Amino acid sequence: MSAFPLPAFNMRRFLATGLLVVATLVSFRLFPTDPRVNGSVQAIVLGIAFFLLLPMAYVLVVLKEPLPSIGFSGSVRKLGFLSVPIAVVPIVSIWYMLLQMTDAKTGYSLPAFIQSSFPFFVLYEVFLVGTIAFLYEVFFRGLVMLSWLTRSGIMSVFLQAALFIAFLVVPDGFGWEYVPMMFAALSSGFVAYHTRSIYYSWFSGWVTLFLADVLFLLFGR
Amino acid sequence: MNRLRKKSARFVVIALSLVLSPWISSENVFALSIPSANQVASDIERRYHIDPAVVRNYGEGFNVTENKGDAPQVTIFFSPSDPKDGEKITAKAFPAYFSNPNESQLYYTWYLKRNGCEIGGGGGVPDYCEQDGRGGITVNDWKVAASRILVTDGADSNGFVYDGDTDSDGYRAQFGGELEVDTTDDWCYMQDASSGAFYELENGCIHLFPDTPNGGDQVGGPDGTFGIDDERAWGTNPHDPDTSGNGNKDEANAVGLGRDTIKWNYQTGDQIGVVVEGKSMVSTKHDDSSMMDMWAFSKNKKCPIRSIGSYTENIHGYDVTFPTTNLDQGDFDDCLVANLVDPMDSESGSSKKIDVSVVASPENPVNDNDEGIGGDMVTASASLDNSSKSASEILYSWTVELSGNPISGWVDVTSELENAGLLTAARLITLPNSTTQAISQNGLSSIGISLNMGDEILGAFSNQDPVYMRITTRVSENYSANTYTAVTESGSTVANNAVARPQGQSDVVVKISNTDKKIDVYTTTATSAGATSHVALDDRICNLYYPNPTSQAQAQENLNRVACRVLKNEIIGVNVDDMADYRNISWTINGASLNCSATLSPNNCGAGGTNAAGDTAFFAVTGEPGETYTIRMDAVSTDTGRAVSLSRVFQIVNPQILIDTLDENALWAKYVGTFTELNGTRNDEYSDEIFQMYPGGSIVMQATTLPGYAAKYLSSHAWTVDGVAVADSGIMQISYVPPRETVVGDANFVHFSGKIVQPAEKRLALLNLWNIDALGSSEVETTKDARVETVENADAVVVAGSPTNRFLAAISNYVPPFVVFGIRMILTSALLLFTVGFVFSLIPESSIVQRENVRSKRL
Repeated sequence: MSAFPLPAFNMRRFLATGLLVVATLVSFRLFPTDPRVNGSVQAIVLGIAFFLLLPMAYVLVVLKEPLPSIGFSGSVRKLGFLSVPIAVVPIVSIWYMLLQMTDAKTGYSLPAFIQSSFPFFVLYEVFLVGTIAFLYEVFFRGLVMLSWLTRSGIMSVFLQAALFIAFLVVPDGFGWEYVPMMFAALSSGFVAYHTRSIYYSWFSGWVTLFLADVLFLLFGR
Repeated sequence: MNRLRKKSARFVVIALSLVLSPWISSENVFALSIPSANQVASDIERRYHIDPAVVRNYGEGFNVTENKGDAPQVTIFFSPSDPKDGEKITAKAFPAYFSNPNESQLYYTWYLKRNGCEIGGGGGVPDYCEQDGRGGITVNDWKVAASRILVTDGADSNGFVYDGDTDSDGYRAQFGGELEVDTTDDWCYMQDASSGAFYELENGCIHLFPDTPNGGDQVGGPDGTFGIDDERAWGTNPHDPDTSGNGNKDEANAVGLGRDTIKWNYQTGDQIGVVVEGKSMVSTKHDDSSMMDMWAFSKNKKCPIRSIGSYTENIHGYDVTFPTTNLDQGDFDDCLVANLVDPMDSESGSSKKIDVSVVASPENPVNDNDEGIGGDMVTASASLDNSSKSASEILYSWTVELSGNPISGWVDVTSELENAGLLTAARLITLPNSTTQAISQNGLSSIGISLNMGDEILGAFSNQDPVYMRITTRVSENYSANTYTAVTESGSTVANNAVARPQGQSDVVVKISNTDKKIDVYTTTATSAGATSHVALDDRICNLYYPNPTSQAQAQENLNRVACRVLKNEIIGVNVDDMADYRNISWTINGASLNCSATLSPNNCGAGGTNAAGDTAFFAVTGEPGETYTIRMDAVSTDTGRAVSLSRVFQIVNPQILIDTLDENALWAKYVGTFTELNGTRNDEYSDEIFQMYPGGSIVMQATTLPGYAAKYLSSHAWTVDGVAVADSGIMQISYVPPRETVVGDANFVHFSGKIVQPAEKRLALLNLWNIDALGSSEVETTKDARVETVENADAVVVAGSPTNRFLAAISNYVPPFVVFGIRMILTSALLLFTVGFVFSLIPESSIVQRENVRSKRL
């Protein structure tokens, strides 16, 4: 159960937010890329616009609500720090087992320069993984789970995770490289659900991804 | 003593004998008489071989020498020679036949007649014509207009303070130019243009300097002052003796001392003249050191002599007569008007005629009067020698005429050729002041004529061979605002603003073989047995023509009509079909005789072979790539007795590979831009090395050789895509799908390589028949690379449409792509936000919320 009371249901808010979520995900997928610009740069810039700035603008301009309504708020510190390991440890354990028992070893990969250079590994994990994880937190845990599906209770964790996984898998098909992010979606969802803060869920998600990479480097190669 | 006397007497006798002996022994001695002057002159004449007729001529010329004196002259040169309106033009005078030591000592009285400033003036005369403030337009206004330029050099008189004259810038002009020592009286003369006689001005010397504006005296007067009124009238600085800064005093500039150059902003219709005053090289008859003071006029048109008179002076005891004339100011003004020069006028030295030369190639083209597709393309090119205009500013008008002889009887066929589409340009107009129609365009310096003229064009010459074609170009520089009416090919009338005065014309006559005969080109086969080899005609080449080529290979094939491309160390056969009715058939290659015998080709050149005698020849391509051969065949018809000459040009090339698409819907050449021809025609340009396809597409390509027949010498070839060998899907074709589905931004690299080698028998024939070593005919490896880009859309650039579209298209082309991406992203985000916000505003607040809100308030 969430430690916070559920907000009142607002049909107008529900429909508008749902429209925004769907429209944003579809637009992201169908957005025309420019072959003259690096694809990764386009993806990150577009992600910042669609998954970070657009939800914030929506909350502030359309809903006229404060940003904490999508998780930009602190929480009970004890609860926050407690929920992170509770969510992360089982997920990471599952990932470890997958590495030991499935094709995840061969299916998952990290860039060679990350594997061969510790400084690059740190930079990669801190900045790139952290940034991307934050974008997903704002959109999927903040906007989708805490704002749109907030009345669904614990089911909102799974619904947002399902939406996230569908967003990853449906266009490109399943790949082992998506699995840690799927796990992170679940762990972060639990943390966000209990803390109503995307800061803790972001930390949770980032730790999940970080440990997934560490485990891969330790046991997956 | 007696002895001494005897000796003396003997000496006297001997001496007398010696002296008198000739007189005694010769009869002629007594024929001598006292010679006359005439006889003496005749003796001299004989002695020095003088021809009396020549002496007589000299004497007759000497009688009129007085009238042959060289009066001073002056010529004006303009720079630029073809000024545009508003452009600064420089006129420089070059005087001649003055005896003044230095040209800077001459007085140059310039007079500038601006457009519309006619003598007398009238209601419509512009205000700027009135320069001297004396009312009406006179020559003095023109002089003042020019002198103001010289005096002030453009200085703004508004900045001068006319509170007094402190600069002492007066100048007293001397007659005959400024002299260091003036010790003689001044005698001014005018030469009669017809008789050449010199007439002294009856009323003494005068200057032709301008009168000071606003009623002032003539500048350079004897007072030698240039007062405040003069300064004000001329717009000079009263506190600066040299307002124009050229080293002369202001009044010296007003009289034009040494001012051989003047600059002004030209306007169409401006005219200018100059009178140069100085000492001529003709001496007077006065008893002093004087030379005639004279003027040179800009057109060297001398003033008419009026009121002829004379006076007599006794000089050195003889009465010397001096012819005189009485010219007044009006006479001089008329003379100045007659000597006005238009800078655009050729008489001033600015050339109005453009030197044009026209050349045409090839030398002996053939007209295909039969099928109308195989004729040669005659290209005529014009070059200009003395035009400073760029090509786009030159209007070329081309006409084409035919005749049965190279001299006369020309019939204009320009419009017929244009209607038949046989010209490379198609803007038919009617030339100004003429009924002649011509192909006329700016920058059209060359024109191509396809010699596929049928009877409807040849007309009376359809049965003649050869036919002569005269290609004429008329060129003119464009700058005039004059107009003439032109008729377009569709018959509509347009105004052409391109009549120009500098123009030229030239033509070239081309002898055309008007026959259905043509030289066919063949590859060859060779058979060798030991040191004996024979060759025979094989496949016909260089015979295809595609009016609308759709591929690189077709476009390249069309070029073979101009010069058939052949490979080095190839044996080429040439043949003219159906020559049974011709005799005296001879072949030459670059002027050297080319023979074919049964030894060389028993099948094609031997008796009983498949060909008529002499209709076939073979040659080995022994030159280097880039060189050309001209093969010529001459023969005489046994039926008509007419001679026929055919020629064909060959160019040696290295073998090349062309890669092209097999299916333009799947893969297409990349659009690389637009090429704009000199005549303004825009042609799309496509890369022959970069291709494009859609994501997930397949690479469908084919390779062709250049020349095309080289394909049969390909001993082996191979394709690779991204380094992976790809097997042929057809003859030199591939249809390849990359293993990883291509996405936008991907690039695949295609490589084709092949080895071209002559068959061993032919190499042996080259050795046996032409002594070409086998090493010289070894294999040649040729390759071609191409890149295939995966794109979302074809790079089609739409430039047609409104200027706004073009502007936006230009922006989208030049704005950095990441900026475009960012703008799209921002607009998309804004649209999403707006849409959601709009939907949000349309949905009513639910009752549940209202109830919840009420409960929240109670709590």
